[in-house]
Amino acid sequence: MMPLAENAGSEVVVIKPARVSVGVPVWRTMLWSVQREIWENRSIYIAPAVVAVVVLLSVVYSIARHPQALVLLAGMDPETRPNVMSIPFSAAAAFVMMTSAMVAVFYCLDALYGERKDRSILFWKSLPVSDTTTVLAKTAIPMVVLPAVTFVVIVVTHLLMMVIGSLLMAAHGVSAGMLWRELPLVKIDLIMLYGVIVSALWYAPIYGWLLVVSSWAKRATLLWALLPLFGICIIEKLALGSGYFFEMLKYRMNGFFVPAFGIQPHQSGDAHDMHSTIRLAQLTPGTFLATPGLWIGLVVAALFLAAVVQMRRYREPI
Amino acid sequence: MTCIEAHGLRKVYGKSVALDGIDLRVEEGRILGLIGPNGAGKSTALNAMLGLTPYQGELKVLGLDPWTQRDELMLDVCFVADVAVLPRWMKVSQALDYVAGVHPRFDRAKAEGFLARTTIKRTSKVKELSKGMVAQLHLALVMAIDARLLVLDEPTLGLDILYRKQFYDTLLNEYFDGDRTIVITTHQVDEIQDVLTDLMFVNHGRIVLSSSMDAIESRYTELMVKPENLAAAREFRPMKERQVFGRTVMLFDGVSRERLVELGDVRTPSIADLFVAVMGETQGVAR
Repeated sequence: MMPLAENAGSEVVVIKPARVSVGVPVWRTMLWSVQREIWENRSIYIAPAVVAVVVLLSVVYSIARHPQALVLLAGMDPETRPNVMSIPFSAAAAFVMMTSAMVAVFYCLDALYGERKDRSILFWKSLPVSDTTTVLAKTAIPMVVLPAVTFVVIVVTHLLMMVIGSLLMAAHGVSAGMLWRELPLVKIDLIMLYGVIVSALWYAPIYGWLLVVSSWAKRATLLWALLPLFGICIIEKLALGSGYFFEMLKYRMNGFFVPAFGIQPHQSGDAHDMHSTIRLAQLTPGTFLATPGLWIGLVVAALFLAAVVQMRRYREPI
Repeated sequence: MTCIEAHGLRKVYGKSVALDGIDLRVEEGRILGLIGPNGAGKSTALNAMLGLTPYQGELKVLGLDPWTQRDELMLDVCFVADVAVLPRWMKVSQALDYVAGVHPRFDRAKAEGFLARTTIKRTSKVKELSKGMVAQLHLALVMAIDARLLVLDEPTLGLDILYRKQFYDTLLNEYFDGDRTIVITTHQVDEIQDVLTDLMFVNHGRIVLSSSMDAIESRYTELMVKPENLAAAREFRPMKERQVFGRTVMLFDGVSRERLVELGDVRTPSIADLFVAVMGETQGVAR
């Protein structure tokens, strides 16, 4: 009989238990990774906040210069007045959103390039945080953190506009009641929330592409992000005489307006059209979710992110 | 248990061979010095062990394949690649928070203890610290991690002698516990002479010498020859001869001390002198 069989059934004596190292839970390394991105890139919250302050100051300045506008407003037809009043609120939100979009673009371009350039990637890679976690944390900045910051900054800005507007109205002898009574602020901000989420989902492949360039390019990330796109457009035009790629890029930039809001882009910003932007009923999340462009974009974004993870994992770090 | 084991480890960049089929075996609880000239392949070997670069051949670190099982490996391995890699924007307090947040084996109190001996402020950013302070911070973080393998690639580069001495003292007295394995590369070879348990010389992607420090003491002897014994000493075929203050110093390989002691003063050679002699020999072979 084999000696092994004699031991069958008896306890195996472990002299020195093998050390088993268990990492901290993934959600924790994920949160710390997001935290460190925010530490490093303070423009994520500073830039939208600064723009909000500039917007507030310009609102105060323009009312101070044209106080008669308030009197005009008071004498306006209560039917159209909410739309007129909502214009500065929509404009303020638009400025904050554009700023966040720019921050997102420059964040993505630097997210994986900067750590290679300053060689800090070797420090990050000396810690038990997987490349997948790191890349997902970096993706969460334009997809989750910036939209959330944008929304919060917009809401705070709107509240401050209400307060400052009321004070200025009172100072010029106009009743502030109409502002609080007639302006559908909650609706406006719910629409902003919807817009922020919709655009983050729609722009996911753009962020994915920028992250790919950031993890691949040795220098000049902005050029590498744009030139191939221009190049394809030009080559397609010269070789085939068509402009499908350009149309596709254009669609990716503003294609979500129609399915998400049921309106055409590039509509004039006069009071009548603004009316349509403040009606909750106008939101069409169902149509948006049923748009193939959304899902194609998300699949492309996922492929880009998978490529980024592979590059960070398997390329020589420097 | 074996900490690092390699068979035919090879790495080629284009036409240049960085590692030319290395075999090595490092047991747990050793402190290995990897010594070689620039471009010898030290960093490539370390990068392979840390899963930072792909390679040919077989390599196991703590029983894991560093290239395919890197995430798992990094729970038990820590490294300092170069002193300058701490992110410049980071505050000292943030570095502590972050490592404590992501590393299951980081002892924050220990790191705070190391930092308390320095003049580093918690609120400083890395870019505001001097080069020496950055290295101190990095080493404080790393030494507070209970790793099974610590890899230090030129950890004291750019530091002045006080820092270097202090660092190796701390490494030996407070970090090394006999179970951990440490691999160090450095150009300041003499400073680690008393730190190492094992020595490995690397040149042109090959291991030129691999030995424990004990074996080196019994194998190599340096002799300061009395002038009248020069010819007799040369009979034992020294590896290398050099002049120091008008006297001849010879390095012998495998000649017993009892026979040499009559010819002059004998002692164990420094790593630096041994390095020069061994590298000189291999250069000669290459020619």
